[in-house]
Amino acid sequence: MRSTSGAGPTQARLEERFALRLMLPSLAVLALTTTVPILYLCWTSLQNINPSMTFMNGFAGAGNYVQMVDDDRFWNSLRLTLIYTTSTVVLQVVIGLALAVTISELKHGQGLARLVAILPIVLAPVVVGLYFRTLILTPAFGMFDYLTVSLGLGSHNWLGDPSLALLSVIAIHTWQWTPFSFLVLLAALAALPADIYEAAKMDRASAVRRFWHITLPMLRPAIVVVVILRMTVALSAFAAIFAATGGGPGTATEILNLYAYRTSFNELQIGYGAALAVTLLVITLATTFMLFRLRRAS
Amino acid sequence: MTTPKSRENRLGEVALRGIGKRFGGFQALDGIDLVIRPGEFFSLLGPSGSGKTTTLRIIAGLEVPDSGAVYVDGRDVTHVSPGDRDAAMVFQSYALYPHMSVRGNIAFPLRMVNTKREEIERQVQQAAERVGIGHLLDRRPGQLSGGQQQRCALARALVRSPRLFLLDEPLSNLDARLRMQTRTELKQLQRALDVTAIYVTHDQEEAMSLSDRMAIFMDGRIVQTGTPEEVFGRPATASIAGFLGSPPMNLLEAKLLPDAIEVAGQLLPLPPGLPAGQQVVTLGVRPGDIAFGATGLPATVELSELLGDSVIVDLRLGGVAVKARSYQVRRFAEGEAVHLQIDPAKLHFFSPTGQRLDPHPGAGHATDGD
Amino acid sequence: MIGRLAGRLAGAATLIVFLGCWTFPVVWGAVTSLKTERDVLAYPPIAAFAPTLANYADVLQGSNSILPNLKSSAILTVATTLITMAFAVPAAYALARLRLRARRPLGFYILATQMLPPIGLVIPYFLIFSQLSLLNTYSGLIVVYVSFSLPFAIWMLVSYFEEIPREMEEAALIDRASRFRAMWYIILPQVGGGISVALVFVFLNAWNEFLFAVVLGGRTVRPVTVAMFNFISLEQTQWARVSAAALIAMAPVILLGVLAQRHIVKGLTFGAVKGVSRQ
Repeated sequence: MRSTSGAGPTQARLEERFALRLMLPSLAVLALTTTVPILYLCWTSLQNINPSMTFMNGFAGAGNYVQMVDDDRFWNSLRLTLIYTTSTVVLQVVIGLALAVTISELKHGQGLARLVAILPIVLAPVVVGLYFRTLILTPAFGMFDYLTVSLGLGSHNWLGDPSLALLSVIAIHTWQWTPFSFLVLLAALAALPADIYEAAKMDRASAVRRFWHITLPMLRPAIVVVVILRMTVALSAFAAIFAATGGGPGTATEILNLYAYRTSFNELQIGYGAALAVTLLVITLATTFMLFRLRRAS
Repeated sequence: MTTPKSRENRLGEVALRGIGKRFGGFQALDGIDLVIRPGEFFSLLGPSGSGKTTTLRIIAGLEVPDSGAVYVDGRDVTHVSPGDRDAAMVFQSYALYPHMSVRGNIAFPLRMVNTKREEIERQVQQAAERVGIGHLLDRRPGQLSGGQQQRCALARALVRSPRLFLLDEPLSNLDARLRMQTRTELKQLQRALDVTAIYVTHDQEEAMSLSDRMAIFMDGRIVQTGTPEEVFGRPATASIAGFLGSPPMNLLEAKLLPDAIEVAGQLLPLPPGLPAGQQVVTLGVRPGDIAFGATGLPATVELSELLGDSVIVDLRLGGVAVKARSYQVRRFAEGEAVHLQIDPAKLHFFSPTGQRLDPHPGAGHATDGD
Repeated sequence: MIGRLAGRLAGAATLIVFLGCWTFPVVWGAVTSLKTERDVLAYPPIAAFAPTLANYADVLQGSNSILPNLKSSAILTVATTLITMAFAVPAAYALARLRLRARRPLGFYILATQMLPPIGLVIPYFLIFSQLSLLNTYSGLIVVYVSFSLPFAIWMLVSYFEEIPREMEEAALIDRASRFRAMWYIILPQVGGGISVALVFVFLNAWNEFLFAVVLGGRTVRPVTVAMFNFISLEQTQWARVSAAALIAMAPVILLGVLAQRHIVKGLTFGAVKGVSRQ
């Protein structure tokens, strides 16, 4: 049993002092490099800052936020963020789970599958976006387009057609990160105790029943972990979309963080961009908080 | 390792005064007073959660009590760090350093006080041979058997000739035969080194066989202290009586009549000098104190367990379950009718609240404690 | 019987589809990089061609050489990894194993810093760095890289530190070691595996970083992830060269991935599997 009260002044305090000394450098670095900039971001969001038109600079109060409410492009980006995040996470979990369940039954090839799964994960998202943009999805050139032509589905401008672009970037993100969820769920499946299944088989439960009533509930913690991790990544996904479409065509793939980027660094409206970033920050923290609550409850 | 003569003022006397310890809402220790004499093999015995391990950890310095004080050889060490108490400990899990060899493990405490390398080598070799693992010095703990790991932990503790030798259920991870063997060796080791040993266990057989004296813990309090004979022969409460011995003492409800004892529908002669005024008591009789004869209390056999040199018989005495142990080994048939003979002098009496009732002074004396 | 056979076939088919789908882009990229620009443009794409290393030569030695970018990446990544681990290891030890009243809030704080979307940090950094003349400097960018690597490294290491039985420090303290020596001689040697895993991930994330590099870097401090775009402009895409550059840029991480695959799988699955088997 461990003491939770620091009753002995000398010993417990010495231990605490040692612990703080070990943590202090990291805490100082984090405070300086994250908390300070975030505060500065909030401050910036209350300003008008435009490097190219400095005569417009000045305090704006809540002006940027008011502007945001009426900004259709903002609402568009919010909608796109929602679609992008939920669909990529759902697809990753579903496909990853299906793959994990199927491949975990195989006698041979699991090691190979794990090795192959690592490949997309270690690539830089920007490179993945670039690959897909150039070699895979380019109409009349890319391999995927060639595939659809061969299958009679015709050639399409996968990234340049506003009605297809969002789907394409969702596919790209899903392609890169499904192996992650696959690996996690594969390991989780391997960790499930075998005797429960044997008991279920003796209780004459079918394979589907066993999956639904035993496997799935027992995988729940792992699935929740995957969802939390992938959701935070999806909310801040940048490089792959930037490389594939740059946020376009037009604003067809302009999720919130891309909108914030373009506003700040292409249109040089840094104050407004900061406000958009703050909004994304709030959304991210709120979502994470809710997901943790859900996890605690499970 | 130094010889006993150089112990000088490092005698290893431990005194606990009024120790209290709380974990969150749970009172783990409530007013512990204890004196352990130099060179004693002292056991802390009790069921899980009774506070014996917490007490050991407080002596070691791994926990600090909320109230009370710990004295070692007269010095107040309550807030002194574990490394400065001159106490060595063998953990239940041994806590060997897996990334070091056996040699490295045993040498570690010597390294920490900057002992010279040649001296370290010598002492490590000596300690290892003392516990019989001198040939395993270059192995890693992961390559040793359970018994060998335990010896490694012992060697690491003893290499520094500590003032106090603390052991937290060190035999519980060994199989039964190894446990017996190691028990004897432990006792021999402690005698040879003449070091104060404080031993935590829940196994009353272990405590009985190893200790010079022991303290019995229940619910964070010490309920009896004494030598094995004292504790076994004159348990202070019914709970203690029901805890010690294997099988433990039979505890039966009885009524004291003016000239007899009524128990299980039978009458037993009244031993002399019982305190007056007690009508209902708990009667205690050890299985070994029940003999089988041609006459006596009638009982029926339910089950018998042959243990080779003795037999344990489960009996029904007037509807009450009783166990008896006999060294006249024979098979007992289920349902067999037998007669039990109980020497009234071997009976123990406890009040309805579980306190020991002793015959009046003159017929014996009531003491329990150190 | 047939059910089992069908199941086996389905399983094998899934495996093949899986392997194909996820290896294809990289393999095709490698194939493309060995084609001449002309061969690349052939449509339908040709499988038989005369391979050439000219693209690699051009990408490494030509006017748009990515060699200085590789150097940039190397400096940033190695420095970040070393600094991050130096800070993270003691912090994770303290968080995982020492009694600290503020442990919970501090743990949450570190976790929270990991949740910050990079765009929220890039904007203020841009402003701050421009004012402090830290744009396009290694020191500036390394500080930023460490800031996002540190919380991640700490959390990875904490779970490894927690695996070691509690008695280790106690035994060491009783053996007369100081708290520091207990950490140094007894605990740290036992988390070697965890440190390797964390190291691999920090390295990967630093090497692959893009957003901070593109906004806060410049002409001299430009890792390969940014340099990829050298071969793409509004007028034309130099397909083969892009493929060659991408392959070179990704070679270190792919190599690391293959060599350290056990570490990587362990690191990814550690937290999740603990949750499952704890039930």
